[in-house]
Amino acid sequence: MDVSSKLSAQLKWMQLRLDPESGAILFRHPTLRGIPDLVVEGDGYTLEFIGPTLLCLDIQDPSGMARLLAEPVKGKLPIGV
Amino acid sequence: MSYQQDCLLFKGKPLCPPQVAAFLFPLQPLDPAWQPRARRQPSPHTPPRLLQLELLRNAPAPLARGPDPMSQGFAGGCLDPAWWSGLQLTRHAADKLETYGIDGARLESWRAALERGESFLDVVTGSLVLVMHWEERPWIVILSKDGDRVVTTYPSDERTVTNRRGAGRWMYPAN
Repeated sequence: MDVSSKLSAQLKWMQLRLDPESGAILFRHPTLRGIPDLVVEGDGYTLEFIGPTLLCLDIQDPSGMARLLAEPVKGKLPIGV
Repeated sequence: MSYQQDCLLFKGKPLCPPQVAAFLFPLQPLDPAWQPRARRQPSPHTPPRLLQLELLRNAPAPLARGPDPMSQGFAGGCLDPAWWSGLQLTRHAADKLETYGIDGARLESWRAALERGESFLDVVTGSLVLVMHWEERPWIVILSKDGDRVVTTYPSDERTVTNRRGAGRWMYPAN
C-alpha cells in the first residue's frame, strides 16, 4: 500500500467535527490524543501525525483549500466555492 | 563637574577634551536631588492577577477583547496581556486542543503562554498569526480576521517560524 492509499485508509475512520461559525473542518482520529510530532502545513490546512498515524486533518480555511481544486472537481462539490 | 566629564576621567586624568565628551555623551548633568522612586503598592481594592483574568474572560465581549490589536502604538511584539487573555476560542480551536489532550492545568498554562505570544500579519491569508512558546516548542495560533477569536492552533518548529518571518510572509501588523 503506497503512502496516499494509507492516508486515504486512515481518513476513512476519522471523526468529523464541523464548526458552523468559522466553517472550519476537523477530521481527527477517533481515539488517539496527544501532541503531534509532525505537522505538514498547507495554505489553510494542516496534516498532523503522531508517528506514522494521522492524528488529524485540520482545514481551517475550506474556501482557501477549495481554490486549489481543479474546476471539474469544484463543480461536483455540494457547496459553491 | 558635569556627568559626561566624570565619565571620561580615568584615574583622575581626562581621556578626551570636554567638547568631544559632550559630543559622545550628550547627557544632562545628574540631579543631586534625584532619588529612586518607591515601587507602587497595589491598591487593596485591586483583585489578584488570576482573578483579573477570570473577570476578563467572563466579561462582555467588547470589554474582554480590549483594544484593537491593529491600533496598538507599536509594531508587533507582545500586546496588552489583558487583550490576549480576552481571546475567545472557536469550537474548532477547542476541538483541536481537546485532540492534543490539553485540558485542566495544561490549558491554563497554554493560555498563559498565549499572553506572551508575538503577533504577525500573514500577508498570504490576511489573518493575524500569533507565535508563542509552550512546552519547549513554538506554537502557531491563527486568529480570526477581526483578531478576537482563536480559529486554530498547532505546534511548529523554530525553522518553520524563522522561514516564515525571513521570507516576508509574516509581517509585523501596521499601526
